[in-house]
Formats: sequence, structure tokens, C-alpha cells
Amino acid sequence: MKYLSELKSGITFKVEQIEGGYNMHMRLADLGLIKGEQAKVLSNDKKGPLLIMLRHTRIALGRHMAQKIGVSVIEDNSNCRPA
Amino acid sequence: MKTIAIVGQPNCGKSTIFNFLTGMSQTVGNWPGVTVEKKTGKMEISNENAEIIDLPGVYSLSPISNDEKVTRDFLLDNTPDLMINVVEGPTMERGLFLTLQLLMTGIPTIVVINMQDVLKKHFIEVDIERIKYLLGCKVIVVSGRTGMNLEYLKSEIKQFFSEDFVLRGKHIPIPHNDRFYSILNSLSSVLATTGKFGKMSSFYALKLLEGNEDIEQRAKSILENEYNTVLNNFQSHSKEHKSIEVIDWLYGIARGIYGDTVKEPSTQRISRTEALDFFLLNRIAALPAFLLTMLFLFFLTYYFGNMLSHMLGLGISAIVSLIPGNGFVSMLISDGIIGGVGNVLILLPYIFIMFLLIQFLEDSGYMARIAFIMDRFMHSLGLHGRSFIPLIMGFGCSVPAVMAARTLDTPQNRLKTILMIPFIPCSARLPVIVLISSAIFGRSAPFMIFFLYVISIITAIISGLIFSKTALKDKSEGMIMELPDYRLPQLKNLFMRAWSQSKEYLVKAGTIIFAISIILFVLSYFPTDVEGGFIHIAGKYIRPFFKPLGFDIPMTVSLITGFFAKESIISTLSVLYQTSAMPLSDYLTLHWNAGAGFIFMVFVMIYIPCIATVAVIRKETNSNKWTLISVVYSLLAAYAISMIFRVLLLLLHV
Repeated sequence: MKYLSELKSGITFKVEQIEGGYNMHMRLADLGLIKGEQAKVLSNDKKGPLLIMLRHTRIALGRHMAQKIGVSVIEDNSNCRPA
Repeated sequence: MKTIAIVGQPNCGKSTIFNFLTGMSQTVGNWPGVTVEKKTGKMEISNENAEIIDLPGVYSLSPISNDEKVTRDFLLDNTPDLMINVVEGPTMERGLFLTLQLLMTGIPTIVVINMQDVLKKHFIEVDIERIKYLLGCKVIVVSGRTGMNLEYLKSEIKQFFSEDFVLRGKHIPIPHNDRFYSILNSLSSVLATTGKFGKMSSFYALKLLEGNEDIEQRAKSILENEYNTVLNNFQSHSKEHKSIEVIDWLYGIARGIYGDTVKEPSTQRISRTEALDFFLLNRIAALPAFLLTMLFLFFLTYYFGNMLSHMLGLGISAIVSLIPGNGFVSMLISDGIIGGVGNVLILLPYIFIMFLLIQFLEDSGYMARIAFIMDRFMHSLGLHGRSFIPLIMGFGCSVPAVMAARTLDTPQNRLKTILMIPFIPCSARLPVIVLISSAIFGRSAPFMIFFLYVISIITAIISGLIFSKTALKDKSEGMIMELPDYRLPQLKNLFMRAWSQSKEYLVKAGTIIFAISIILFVLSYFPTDVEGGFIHIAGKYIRPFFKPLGFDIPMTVSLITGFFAKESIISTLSVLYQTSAMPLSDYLTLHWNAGAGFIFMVFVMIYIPCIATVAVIRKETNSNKWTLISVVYSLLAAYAISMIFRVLLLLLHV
């Protein structure tokens, strides 16, 4: 299982599972990050928080959280420059 | 009076709609007991005034923050006659997540889908009729920015009250074989049969299944003895479920409705936000851009602040000069009251501008970027990105800095940040150390001042780390934050918020300082045969504690007065050294040992900032315990660190 924290920027992924308690689920759901949703990694420098684009929302996600979100890769555009 | 509540997720554009409906009649205040902003206004409906309340933005009705608690509690306790649910068009899927919960409360609702102009720009189409059917309530598409359909919304609201027809037609349509739905339904019916939940049985059922403790408490107090029987009744019908399942289930419905009613094109054009973020969140450009922004803000604050403050100062001096005589009463008025209150008023321009600029950062969307950029750095200090701004504000004045800590998400973060702020050297301490440093260090004064700043900041950081590791261990899981689209804030909103916060500062700091100024003045005036009065006598008794640090009586006394306002330190020293013959700085140059002076300044930098700060810490934390901890801790820290330097200097025979 790949985790969100491992994905490079430019990758579009789908949320497969969220390892965490009720609180974490709720906070993620508040912003729309829930099992089955797709999003794109905008920035991940392997150290600080990640930036992802979920539908029309930009979300900053702490690294610890990202390490608990299991994902599958949908599209890998990590080597393309932004349009 | 009829009440209308506006509810929606953060950044959905509620304020614009609220402004439109209430016009100039708005007031901004605080919800009682919490430091959450309360916005109310009036709207005329059939020759009567209806009250409109703009509830704090929430993502869902399972409160995590104070904002969300306020909103949820309001809906349950002060049930409005009508609810206007503003949904941000582009993020409608998660907006519906909230909408569904709102509809379950049974409160009549008009769903307003906002930002139609953005939807149009992105070629997103919404099937209004279908949504109306699925949600079972009135749905209107508007654009707060262009004004589209806002008048229509107004007329719909009026129509609701005049016809009094039921907008809440049917329950959310769900396939009947949905396992969770049958569980929800059965609990809901069980609650409904008790007759004690009004229209809200579905809502209570949903939250009870989620395992929400607040709702459990409420249900217990509503049902009292019946609670256990009701639950047993329910258990016998239900099958097992997990609370997490509730979230997934509800979101699934939102997603279903969204998928059924909204059509999006597959490609998107680059938005203004994306373009701006390309620079502002750029790995290379982000930090410089941020530093430039902060620098710019500081300059604005000091330039305009100075200007306004100066004018205020002139005004105050003019008033003081009008007071005749030298007797007790006139001195009380001029030195005590006006002098004391003047200290507060002088800061007001800076404070107002600071709040204005901070609000601008928040509303424009850039604040979230700051938190994001600073997060990693803040983590190494045991903090979070959002703590950055309140801490920076501490360099100006601790009082608004503590107030700014409201925006932090968890109580631990908020408390941690608030406890660190007193150690950040505020601008009131600066004149004191500048004067003393120039007097005793001469040319090396700037370096010593810088060194003092560094000591303070390090103390702040270490304190933060200590608190992080002990009493305030962080239970939160980390940052989850939306970075909203950039937008130009509405000037009227900015001014209103800044003014309401400044008023708070004025009242809080002002009343305390007003009272203290009088007390202080009286205590230093009487007995008249002792220079410095009672305060001096008190100083004599306290001095033994400070003798080990090398402080004499005037220094000790000035620390006491400095507790009330840092500027008093200079005036107290002046008075007690009886330096009418020469300026204080000359006296210090002649009589003070540089080492002793340095230790004194270390103490001044670290001990409690001022009584106004203590007052605002008490208000924001709502806890006597933590306020006391803050005061005692800062005193101990100041003493300990001063002692370290004292020992160091003694060892070096300075």
C-alpha cells in the first residue's frame, strides 16, 4: 500500500484507506478527503506539510496525516511541468 | 422577533450575503463565554425587523473548534425560524455534507449556492430543479460578487415569513435497502416517539450514532430517566455499526447528490489563485515574498501608527495642560488618570492598524499560506504554522497578540502560544532598554539590545518546548488546512472587525489600567513625606528578594510599577533617584554598574509584560489557573535567568 506522504508532486491519486480515529476521519471529511475521492499532489518536498488539490480545494496536510492515508496512483504527471 | 441564521462552510462568501441582507445595521461582538465573533444585523420584513445572525463558518456539525460549537449550540438551543445555508458553488460536494446535517435538524432551510460567477467561468452546470427535488427544500443560485439573484433571495425570505409554508418537505431520498439508513431511521423514530426532540430527532439520531459526546450529554439531559430505556429499545432493533461509518455514509450521499446534479468539464483553466500561488508558494520565492510582505506590514503599522499616535499624544498633552494647580486632585487627574489612560490610548492607533492588516491577511487568503510556509520551522519549536502570526504580533504589543491566538485550532496550541507571547519583547519594553543601554553601554548599546532580544526569544522558544513536552502535550494529529482562493477583502468588513477588536482592547486594557493608574498614583503619593509614597515602602520590603540579583530599592520599586506598564519603569527610576538635576540617562551613566544594569534589563525583558496582558490572557484562556501559571512562571524565569547572568558576571569579576 502506498501512502500519500510518498507521492511526488504532479501525481493524481485515489484515497483507499484512512488509518486513524474518528477525529482524524472527521477533519479529513470536512474538507472532502474521504475514501474513494481523487486528488492531486501539488507539492511534496518530503519534509514539511503537503499541498494537495481536491476537486476545487487546495488543502495543506501535515506529514503525519499524510503518512496515514493509503492511496493508489491514478495518473503520474510528476515529470511534467505545470501548464 | 423573527430570527434568521446564516450557516455555511468557511470561505463560502456568507459575509457578502449577510452584508447585502443587513445593510448598515450590522454589529460585531462576541459570543458570551468564548472569544468567537458574533455578527448580527436586521432586515425589514413586513414592517417588522427580523434579526439575522451570521453564524461562524463550520465544516460540519460535529464540533471540533469553538466556532463550530457556537454554531451547533445556537441551532439546537436558539432554533431560528429560518436557516439560510450558503454553499460555495465550486466546493459543493463537501458543502452538501454540511447541508445534509443541517436539513436533519428540521429547521426550515433555504439553500443558497453562491459564487455563480465562478461556476460560470469554469463551465460548471448545476441542475437546480433536481437538487430542489433531492434535498426537498428551496435552492437558489446566487453570486455575492456580481449581485446576481440577491434580490430574489431577499424576496424569497420575505415570502417565507408571509406565507409561512413549510419548506422542509420530505426526508433525504435514499434507497430503502441502505443498511445504515434503516439503523438511522429506527433510532430516529424511537427518539421521535418520546416527543421530546421536536423536529430534531433525525439530527440527534445521526449524532448519537456518530458517538458524539456533546449530543449524548444533551440527549441524557433531555430524556433524563427515559434515556436508558430508549437506548435499550434501540439496541434491540439495530445492528452493529461503527461511528466512522456514519461519516462515510453521509458523505456518500452528498457525493451522490453532487454527481446527480452537477456537470463539470474535464479540464480546468489556470485560475488567478494558481498563478499567485506559483510565486507565493514557490520553493524559492515563497520565503522572500513572505519576508517582504511582513516588512511592508511593519512599515505600514509604524508609519501610520506613528502619525495617528502622535496626533493623539498632542491631544492628550493639550488636555493635561488645561488642568490647573498642583494639588492632589489635579495631579491625580493629570498624572494618574490621564497619564495612565493615555498610555493605553497612545497604543490604540498601532493596535487598530495591526488588527486591520492581520484581518486583511486572513480574508485575502494569504494567512493560510503563511501558516503553510512557516509550519515546518514552527514544528521544530514545538508549534504549528498558525502560531506564527500571533507570536510576531507580540513584538508590537502582547495584548492584541494574545487576542490573535483565537484563530488557533486546538486549545493546546492556543494555550501554548499564549504562554509564549509574554516572553516576546514587546514594543513597550524597547524605550526602557534603549534608554538604559545607551546610558551604560554607550557605543555598544545596539549590540547589547540585540543580545537582550535574543535572550528573550530563546526564553520564549524554550518555554514553548517545555510546555509542549509536559503539561500541553499535543494531542492533535497535525495540520489539515484549506488554502482558500485569493480574493480582495471587503474594506467595510475589515474595518468593522478591526474596530470591534480594538474596542475590546480598549475596554479590557483601558479599564484595568484606568483603575490601576489611580491606585498606583494614590499609593505613590501617600504618605507625602516619603518620596514615592507607599510604593517606595513596599519596595523596601521586597528588596531583600532582589538583593541577590544586585538590585537597589529604586530598581525594585520600578519593577513593581513596571508590572502595570513598562513605561513606568523610567518614570519611577527618575522619581526615586531624584534626578531633577540631570536627565536619568546621565545619572545612570554615572552611578550604575554596567553589569548590574544588564541584569536588570534581562529581568525587565522576561518578567510579566504588563497587567493588561495578564487581563487579556485571563479573558482568552478563561482560566485562572493558567493565568496564574503564566505570571508565576514568567517571574521565576526572569529571576532564574537574571541569576544565571549575575553568577556569570560575578565569576568574570565584572
